Amino acid sequence: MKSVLNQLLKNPQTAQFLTIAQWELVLRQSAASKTTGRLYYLLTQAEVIEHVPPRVLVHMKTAQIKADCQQREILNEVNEITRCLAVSNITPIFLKGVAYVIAGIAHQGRTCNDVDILVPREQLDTAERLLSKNGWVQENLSHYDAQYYRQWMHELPPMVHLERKTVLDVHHHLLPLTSQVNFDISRATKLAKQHNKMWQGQPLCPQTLALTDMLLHSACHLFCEGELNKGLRDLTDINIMLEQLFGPTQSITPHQLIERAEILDLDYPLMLATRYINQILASTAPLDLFCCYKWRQQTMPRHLGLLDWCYINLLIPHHNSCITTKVHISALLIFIRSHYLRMPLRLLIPHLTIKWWHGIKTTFSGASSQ
Amino acid sequence: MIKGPGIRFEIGPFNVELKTKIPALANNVYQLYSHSKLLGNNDFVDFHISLTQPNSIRRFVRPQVDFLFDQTRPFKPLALDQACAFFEWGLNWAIAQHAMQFLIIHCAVVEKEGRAVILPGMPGAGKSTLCAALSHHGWRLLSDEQALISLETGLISPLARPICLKNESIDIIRGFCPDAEYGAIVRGTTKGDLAHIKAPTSAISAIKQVAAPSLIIFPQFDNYVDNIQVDAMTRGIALIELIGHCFNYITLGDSGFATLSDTVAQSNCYQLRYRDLNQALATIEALHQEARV
Repeated sequence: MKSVLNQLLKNPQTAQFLTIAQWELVLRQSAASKTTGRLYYLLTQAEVIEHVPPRVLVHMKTAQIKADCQQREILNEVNEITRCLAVSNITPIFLKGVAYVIAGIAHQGRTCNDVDILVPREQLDTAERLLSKNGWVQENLSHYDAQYYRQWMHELPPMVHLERKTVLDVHHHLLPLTSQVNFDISRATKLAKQHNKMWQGQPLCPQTLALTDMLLHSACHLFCEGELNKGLRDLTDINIMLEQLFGPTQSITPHQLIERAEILDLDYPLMLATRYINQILASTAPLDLFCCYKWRQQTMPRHLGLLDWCYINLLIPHHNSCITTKVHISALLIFIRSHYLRMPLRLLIPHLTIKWWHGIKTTFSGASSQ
Repeated sequence: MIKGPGIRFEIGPFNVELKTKIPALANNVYQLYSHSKLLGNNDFVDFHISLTQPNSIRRFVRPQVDFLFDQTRPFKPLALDQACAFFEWGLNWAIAQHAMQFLIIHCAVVEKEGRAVILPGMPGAGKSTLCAALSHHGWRLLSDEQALISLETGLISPLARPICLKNESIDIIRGFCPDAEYGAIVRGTTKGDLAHIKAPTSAISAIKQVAAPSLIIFPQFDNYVDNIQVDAMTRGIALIELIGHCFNYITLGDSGFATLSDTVAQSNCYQLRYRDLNQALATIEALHQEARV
């Protein structure tokens, strides 16, 4: 079956022609891809919201209200974390969903599962100690997993707040240490931005990456990830940031963005992001320049056709109505690719073997304990 | 059985689709919801629910049942013989999570002459018992579990779903409301034994008639009081109490506060400690008449 949600995202004007049964499917597909609140925003922006039947609109507004509530709570969490770490003069940089809420960009109708922060590696131990003093505890992990996180990953194992149950990921890098992308973290943190709009009169203002870097990080994340359940939503995030960058208050030229992407070694994810935004979403950003990869014609990768096939298959709602064999195959290929990007084979093969063996052990011990 | 496309039916302001291959659940739903409006394939469905048996070896030993909300699984599976209760609980959750056009209070609501009585209470306070008794003695059942107060109008929409009775109440109501129609009795749940009684036909036929809040009564069943005790509550205290009974007060933010305070402002508020159902009904009737002015 076809994704009605994708059809609506590509061409919001079709809203006026959808039947009630199609709208019902739109809601199911958007719920599966966590885009219901976002869809409400996009349809409002496209001035087609009046074509949404009242019973459908109620569900979109519900998603919007829930996202708003979560964002209020997230901002409190941001204050808690900022104050907690300020004790040792650590200024975290907030990343991903939380950063969008702080910056007031690409947060519309969006929920986030966890709070992501970045702290300098040399302050990691102090940060961890301060956080655990303030109620953040690490979940029980197997010895192997804990070891693995600390040795190879770019973040600590997830921490959960004892009372508020918020999940916190503390990063010291934006990509796994073993990643093949050669990304210099200090170049990004140097340009981190203080946000004082919502924090006027307060001594501590939270920090995020600068908008360009936030965009590039988002693209990098989406196209290094192995799972794309929320890929469609993430793609709309990137598009909103692009539209903001090149909007009426244009703060940057396309060439400056490309230049920045090259400095951070994230030009490839930027190319992929713009390429698929161009195909999948309705965008007002000047995408042609990026997605044709004109600026590095000579290195146009040979497997781009395969990647295109995979991503176009996967950037759909992960709802039963859209899942076909093609999607399963693409998911497997992208999963393998993401692991390959994340670490060299000499690490990957032992890792997957051990994880597979642990999986088998849990299955059997779980089955016998029931 | 409710196979294939499932059955689609109307529950108050919501349209629900249920799919299941569990015969006991299918029969129970057919019995308890037999007066609800059936919907066609062209009607919009708000909640897609299916109850299925997980596909594992366990189905032969201690069979379980899964509650699926479209394709998500919000709860851990329960024992198969609790399927009937699981559907009702799951539907409560679905409504509380996905209907932010309403402020939703955990309470029973009945109506007479267009004016609603809100009966909030902790589990075990006897609100369902009272609700069953009232709705078979001259009152219209709006809901046994959730008051849906419109953020726009402040009026309460009926749900008219089956009333859930627990433990001793099952027999008490059997005696007190002989015409009540019982569904399957589910034993050994986390809340003890429970049975659902069908919503009176009068409640379902008036499913579109909303009601204005006029009385808020916090009931408490108490085996040790001889005479019924009625205590007036200030609206300020009632408001604070009620916040704890809301499902989505915090999520709604300012509009939740506005709606809840309006609801309290237009209601008289009481605490009621009772043992005898007849006395309780007479008292509620008197308070209802008093609230008319």
